Amino acid sequence: MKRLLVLALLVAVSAGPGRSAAQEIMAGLSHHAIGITADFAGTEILVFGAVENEGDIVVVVRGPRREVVVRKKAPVFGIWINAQSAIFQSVPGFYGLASTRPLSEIVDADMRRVMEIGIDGLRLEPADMDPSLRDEFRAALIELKQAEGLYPVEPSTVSLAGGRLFRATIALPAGVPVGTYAADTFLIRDGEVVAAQSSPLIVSKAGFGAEIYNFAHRESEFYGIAAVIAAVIAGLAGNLLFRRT
Amino acid sequence: MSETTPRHAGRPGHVAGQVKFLVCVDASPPSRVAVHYACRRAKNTDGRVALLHVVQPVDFRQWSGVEHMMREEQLETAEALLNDLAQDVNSWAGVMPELLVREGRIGDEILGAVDDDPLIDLLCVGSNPAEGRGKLVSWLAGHLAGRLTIPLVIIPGTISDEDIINIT
Amino acid sequence: MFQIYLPIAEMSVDIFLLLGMGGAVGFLSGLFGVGGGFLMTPLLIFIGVPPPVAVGSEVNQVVAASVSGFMAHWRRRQVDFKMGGVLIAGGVLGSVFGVWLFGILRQIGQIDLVISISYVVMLGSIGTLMMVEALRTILRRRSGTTVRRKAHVHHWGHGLPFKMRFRTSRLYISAVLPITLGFVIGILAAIMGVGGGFFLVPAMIYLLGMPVGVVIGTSLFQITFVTATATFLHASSTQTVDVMLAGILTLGAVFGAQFGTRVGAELRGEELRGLLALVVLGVCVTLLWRLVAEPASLYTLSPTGFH
Repeated sequence: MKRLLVLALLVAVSAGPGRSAAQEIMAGLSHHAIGITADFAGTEILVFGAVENEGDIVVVVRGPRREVVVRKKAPVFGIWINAQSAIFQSVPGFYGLASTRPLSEIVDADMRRVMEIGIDGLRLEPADMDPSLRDEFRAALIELKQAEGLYPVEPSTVSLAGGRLFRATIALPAGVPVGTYAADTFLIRDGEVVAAQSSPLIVSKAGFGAEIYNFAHRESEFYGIAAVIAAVIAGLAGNLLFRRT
Repeated sequence: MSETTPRHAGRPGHVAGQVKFLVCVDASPPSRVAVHYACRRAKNTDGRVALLHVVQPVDFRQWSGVEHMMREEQLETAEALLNDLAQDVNSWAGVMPELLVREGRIGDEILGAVDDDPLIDLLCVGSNPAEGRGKLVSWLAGHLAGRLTIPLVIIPGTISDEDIINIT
Repeated sequence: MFQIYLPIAEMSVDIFLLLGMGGAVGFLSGLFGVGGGFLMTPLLIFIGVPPPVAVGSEVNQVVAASVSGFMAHWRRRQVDFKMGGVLIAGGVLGSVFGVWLFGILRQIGQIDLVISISYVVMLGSIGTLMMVEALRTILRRRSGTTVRRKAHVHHWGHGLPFKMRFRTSRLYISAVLPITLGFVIGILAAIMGVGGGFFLVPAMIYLLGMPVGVVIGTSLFQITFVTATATFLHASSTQTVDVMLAGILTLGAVFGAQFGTRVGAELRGEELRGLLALVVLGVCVTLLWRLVAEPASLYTLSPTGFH
């Protein structure tokens, strides 16, 4: 039932821009690609745009979704061992948000869940799990992500100029995952999403480290052979350097 | 001047005119040729022969049991080799050689043996021309030249027994 | 403060810290004539390298550490290639099994634990045995007695089938023994990232009865090929081999080992061995402490499925 509702809403939102919502909201990004180099220390993305009529604006930058597992340690014979675990199917690798006002004043909890706006609105439900443990693992997952700076605790603000032009900055920390991000901008009036726009953002590794990483993951067999050959050459070279009688 | 003083002047055990040859040996055929050369010359000069074999230091030290076993086996092999060559010395020169086993880096130990026994007059080393510049020979030429206080004779392993007799 | 980014470990580390670790472990390995993988992997874990990457990268480094020793022994004809070949056959099987097991343990989230426990058990027993040996020799030296050991005693292993003749080692024994021994070493290489010389060498002497002259060369022959196999398998199936990490450690280890060999030629004695035993036991206790101390966070997060 809920799923159907979400689907209907998404269709409504995405069908909208073609006709009227295109005029309702226009948004752009400061950059559409980010390269993570060896000395990458995080960066900021600027989301800016204009709205036709006044309303509240929420900007969400969401990282690529992945299946992750949260494990909980428990002492077994005095040793801390990973015991219980929960698998979450599509967890955004990053979730950063900016809004004109505190989120609770803009949309209610139900709508937040439907649109996945706000960390508490994220649909993070472990598969096949005792409901009593569900909340515990969900909280642990969010806490771990927050500890890594991937789900910023404090939302940033969207600043409005003249009620029409808006801008917001979302900070990406050093450890952001690579993949395709989406920067979604929502225009909300009276607790309803009246328009939305989504822009893609590609985050990828760059530089020498990225080449090694890609080589290791895309051509694993050749990488393995190269690693062995490199070690043999290094070992023999070291020996030649210090040849003794 | 000290450079011109004989190494063994006034040392006990020294017989005037008697020459003592030190031969560095391993299990290779050129070593045996070198021993033959030294024996012929010793016989002609009423001299004496000493055989030196240098064993590699044991480099596996984690378990003392293993380390001791390796050292023992090395020494046993060295003794067997020297005893073998001692028989040859006896038949060629008619004397029993002095047998020395030292453990360490080969060049250092050769120098050490020469320093420890001032009666040694001449150092003989066999070389294998088939292997090109022998490692030991080139090392000796390069590093010992400045430090060695006695003549060094390099005997190619390819010399026949007749030629040895001829040149001694 | 020269940070270098390790692309597979996905972390930045001070390059001088890595060079120093490579140098220190290389020094010890030069001093004692063993590979040093059994100390390096725990040290990498201590500085925050994920345990699977520590294992995969260290096994790669052991290839570099053992290949030149193998070549040197080969030149001196101190390698029994037939025995080595049988040991390698067992070792390849063992590392295939080990890497497969590694993948499964990683999937179910227990690989870090298994690596740590294996190290606690292995370092604990090596350290204790070394300490006992050192103390016993020191005491014996004080009392002035020496004991000669017999190298080759007959045991149950000689009744096994599939006998093979090993000319270089002057042995006629069942192939089951070296294959099994190689298999165990292969598992150690895959799961712990070690060459296994500390265990292989005594086993070749006491269990197989090989003459000690060819033991080191043959063990290095086996270690070179088995760690190369494990490196390849880890690179292709678990993606835990960080060549950048292995390369920097090798650079440090090459210099450290030269220095260690030189010092080792001068120094000798049970006190030195006792010192290594203390280092080994210290690393063991630190690992054990990390297992029993209550972790700062009970929860961990990891992606499922490793492609």
